[in-house]
Amino acid sequence: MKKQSTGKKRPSKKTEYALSDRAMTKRTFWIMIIFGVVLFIPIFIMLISLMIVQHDKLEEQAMGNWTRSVNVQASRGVVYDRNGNVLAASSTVENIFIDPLELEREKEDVDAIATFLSNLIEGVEKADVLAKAADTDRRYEIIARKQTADITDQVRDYISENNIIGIHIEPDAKRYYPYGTMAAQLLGFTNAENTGASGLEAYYDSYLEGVDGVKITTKGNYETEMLYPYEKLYEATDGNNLILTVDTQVQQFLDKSMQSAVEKYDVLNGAFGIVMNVNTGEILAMTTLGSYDPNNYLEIVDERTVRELAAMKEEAMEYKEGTAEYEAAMQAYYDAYNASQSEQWRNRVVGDSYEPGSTFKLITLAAALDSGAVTPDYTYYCGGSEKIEGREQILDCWKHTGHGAETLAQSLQNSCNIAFAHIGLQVGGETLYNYCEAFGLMEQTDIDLPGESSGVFHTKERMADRANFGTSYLTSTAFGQSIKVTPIQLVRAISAIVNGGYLVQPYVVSEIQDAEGNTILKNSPTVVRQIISEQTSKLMCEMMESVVTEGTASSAKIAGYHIGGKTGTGEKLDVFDEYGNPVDDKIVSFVGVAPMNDPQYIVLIALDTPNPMTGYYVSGGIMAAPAVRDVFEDILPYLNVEPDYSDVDMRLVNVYMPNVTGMTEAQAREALAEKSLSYRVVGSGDTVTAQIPATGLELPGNSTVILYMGEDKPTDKVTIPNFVGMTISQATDWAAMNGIYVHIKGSVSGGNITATNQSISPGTQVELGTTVTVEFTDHDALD
Amino acid sequence: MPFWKKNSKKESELKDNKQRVVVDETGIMDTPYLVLTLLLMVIGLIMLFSASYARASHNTGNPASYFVSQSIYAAIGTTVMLLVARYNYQRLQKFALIIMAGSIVLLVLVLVMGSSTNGAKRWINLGIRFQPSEIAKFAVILFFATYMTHHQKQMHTIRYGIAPYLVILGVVALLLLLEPHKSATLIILGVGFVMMFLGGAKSKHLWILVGLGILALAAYVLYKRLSGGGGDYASDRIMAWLNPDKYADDEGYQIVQSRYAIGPGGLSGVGFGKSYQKTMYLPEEHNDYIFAIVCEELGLIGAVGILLLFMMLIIRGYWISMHAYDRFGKLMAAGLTTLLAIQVFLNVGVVTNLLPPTGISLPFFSSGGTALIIQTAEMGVVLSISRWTKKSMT
Repeated sequence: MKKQSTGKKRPSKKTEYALSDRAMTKRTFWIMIIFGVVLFIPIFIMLISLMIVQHDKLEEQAMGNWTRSVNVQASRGVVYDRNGNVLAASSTVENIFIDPLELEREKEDVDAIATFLSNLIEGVEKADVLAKAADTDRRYEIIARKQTADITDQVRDYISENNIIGIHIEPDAKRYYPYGTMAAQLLGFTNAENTGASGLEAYYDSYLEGVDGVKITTKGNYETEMLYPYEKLYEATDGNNLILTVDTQVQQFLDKSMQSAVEKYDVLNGAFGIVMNVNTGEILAMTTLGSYDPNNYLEIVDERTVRELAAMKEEAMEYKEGTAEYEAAMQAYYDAYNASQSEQWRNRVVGDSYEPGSTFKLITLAAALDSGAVTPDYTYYCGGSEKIEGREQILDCWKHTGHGAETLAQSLQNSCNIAFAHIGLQVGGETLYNYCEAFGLMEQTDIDLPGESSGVFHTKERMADRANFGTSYLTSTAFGQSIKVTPIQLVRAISAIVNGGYLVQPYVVSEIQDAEGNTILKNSPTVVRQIISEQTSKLMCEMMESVVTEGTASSAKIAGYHIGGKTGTGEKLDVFDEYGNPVDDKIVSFVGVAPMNDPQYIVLIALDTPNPMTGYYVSGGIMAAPAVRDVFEDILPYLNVEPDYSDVDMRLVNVYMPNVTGMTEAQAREALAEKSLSYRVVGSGDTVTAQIPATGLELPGNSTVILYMGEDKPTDKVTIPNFVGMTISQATDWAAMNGIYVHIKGSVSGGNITATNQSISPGTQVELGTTVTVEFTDHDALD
Repeated sequence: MPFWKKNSKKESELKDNKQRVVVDETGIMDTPYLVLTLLLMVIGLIMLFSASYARASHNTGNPASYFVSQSIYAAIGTTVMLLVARYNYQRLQKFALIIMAGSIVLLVLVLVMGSSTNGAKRWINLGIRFQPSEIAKFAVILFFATYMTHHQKQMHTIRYGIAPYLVILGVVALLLLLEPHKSATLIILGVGFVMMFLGGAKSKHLWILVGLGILALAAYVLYKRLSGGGGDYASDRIMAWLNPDKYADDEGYQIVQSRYAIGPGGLSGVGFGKSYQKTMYLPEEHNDYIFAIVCEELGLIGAVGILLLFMMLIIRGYWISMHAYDRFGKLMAAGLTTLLAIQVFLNVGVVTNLLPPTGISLPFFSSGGTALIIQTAEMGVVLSISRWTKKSMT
């Protein structure tokens, strides 16, 4: 109150309008509260929100900002064959890339850099480097991938000499396939990102790839060094190694035989083949010809395709650039190029189904015998052609003159379509269908390879419905036409036929081991189910062997081994030429099993579209069976399958000439008898002074060698004749008269056998006692 | 006895509000204010050293280069502050008009011959390189304080309480917007408004001003919306402010990077000198965004501590205003303190993403020599005022 009265000393009018000191202090106080306190409250809230509430989230995001993680590449696993040979392995290489933004910022001489890089590295174009460098929004432009140290060291020198900022080198891995094209589709390849893109590389990618490690370091922006850098290393875990069931040696034998067949018969569309253990399902070899080199998977390998593509490109180049015709032609070229690439990468053994032709008769026969629909004493009559009731087309057998009366075994030996049509009818559509299903022909085999397809069959209803073409479907199926199976399905089914009736699970990888050698996964033989009885199986084995000893596959015969099998010539019913007419393309094949007394290995070789103009009749018996024989001839001794010479014409078996020089005649006789060789003596000494042939040379068993006793050995030469066209006796007679030996290979039984090939070309001068291998073919084996 | 307490015993006379006022020059500077100022300067310098380390090292090869030059300015600034503190602030009134006029001339001059950065002309080089807006801030405070003191009895009228200030603010704001320099405009308008409030303008008039301001802002926003919306510098910034991660590559870059500094700081920080973000990630890390580095290195504890020092300084500034000897001193102290408070609030607000980004430096911390000298000079004025507070007179 007192204060108020003192305030009234001032003129009232002035105090009324001017702000008093008290009032101003009051106003200042409020301003102080606002500007000194209130304004800071939301700031504190923000700070707590950012630094406490969002701390973890922001720190994590910020870490991404500060840290540079350098990949520590895991080494991709190695692929071994069953004997430890390396089929695929990785090595460290480096990628060269530029940072266009950095180059721009550091004002580097981009032109000089582009010149240097394009001169140094093959396949790098200067214009390309300049174009990449011009895109200065980018931080990472690859210049060259997977370069070896000789290149990258030069780039490093260039960088340090010229103090260039913006060219970088990063580690990468390159996959090497030491055997090149061998089993390429089986192995597959890895793409530029080192990811398995096909084959085993793709199927087992997750096992092979390993886990990349990472080295985390903190770096300032623009890669400036930090005052307190932080570094952490996460070790890479190398990929696991695959150990395959594949045997490189067997694979090479298969490849060699197929390659020579493809060349000999001018096979137009490639070939596929497989070697499998019939009891375990282990794949020993798998080949698709028309192959590629996984070391350089983008390049087309097949020469014919390369020529065709080059022609297409040339054609396109004839048009003016930029015109619609040019674009269309170029597009066609690129499409064809891409298609050719996919084609050569495809593993036809698992990925493609094909018309099996007569090889399928084994399935029909097994079904017929096992179901009891037929017994081995059934007989059939083939008149060359027959109108089967319910089948509108007249059925022609491949032998137009007809096979006449045949036993069940003979109808298989002859691969007689008419007989098999009847067998099919005896079995019935539903039962045959059920057996096909049981043989696993309508399901994937689940082999450990990607891209598997499956067979194509008529439905059970259609097969059983006799009224509506069912008879056609059934009879065609019975001899392997109008249906499709994959090679692996067929091989597995026939394995079941010969191994006692057990459908096995085929597999390629036997074991997966980590980098230290610990087993991660082990595949072991698995029986899926039993389909036919052991008894039927045994019977089938006998019949299959008779196909080789007496039937269309006589050229598959190997002295000392019991080979069985079935020829096939499949027509491509669903492929048409550009006019819409069915093409005459054929897939000829032979599926062989050995040894038939204890089946162990199955070999299938199919040749897609042999050129009909080579002079050979296009059939499985003439073309594929010898190829399979060659494979068996190589692999059976290699795989330690004991030969059985008990019941063999020794003329067909080669023996080694022992050293009998210096022996008495009695000693020599004993030594030669051991090798089932006979001899004649020239001269009258006590001991052998010379011999023909020389020690260690191979000659057919039962041959007669010449022993010189005191008399000089003649040094005459023999001129090899052209054996082709001769019969077996013509050839051996000529040889005997001229002092050389003929090793008979191929068909010795059959109606129309002549020589088709010889190991020493006609006109060659050879020593006396030389052995010439002559291959004989049964020209009646037209299936 | 410290030098600033030296007793000169000298007396002088000054005309104030047509009254003869005896001013005692023996007054002692306000110790808390001085200590707080010096403390903030020292902390600011140390943090500048840490924050600028990487960039200085990268740009000049000498990691201490920014620190050294800033230290020299700080030394000069401290000297200037103490000299100004010795100066009788009441004499400043004589220069109010000429400084105001001069600053307007400078603001015109900068538009003509200023150096342009990022499309804005804010700097002028007259032997020394400085921002005329810094002068204008002081000029407006000084002019308002002087004019309000002279017309304190008419402050309730529109003619004397509102109009002249609006004219001055209008001219200054227009010139600043032409640079353009929105943040400085905002600061000057804010300080001007606060001074009108403290100077005695009628609440009713001020409320009308606030209303008009809001209307003008609404009209501006509406105009922007109708004329296609967005696209210009400010509205892009607003969008980036609301959604920084979406604009992290361009408009939102600073905000995101600032968050990446502040967030990881946590409660106690990554440690002095150990900031990751200062290594060229956070732009302006030694300048407008230095507080983010403070947060990263010293953590919430350090950041709050520094803000508390600022708050104490601001509160002490208003305390000095409330206890100042005369009306002019009160207004000067309040105006300068408000200026400091708004600067700190806007800077930290922007750095913490509370406010949309705009270029404002943090007093005592941000690198910049002339700004520091002007700032210290202003602190000197407040210190000068503090020498005649009623308390120290006793």
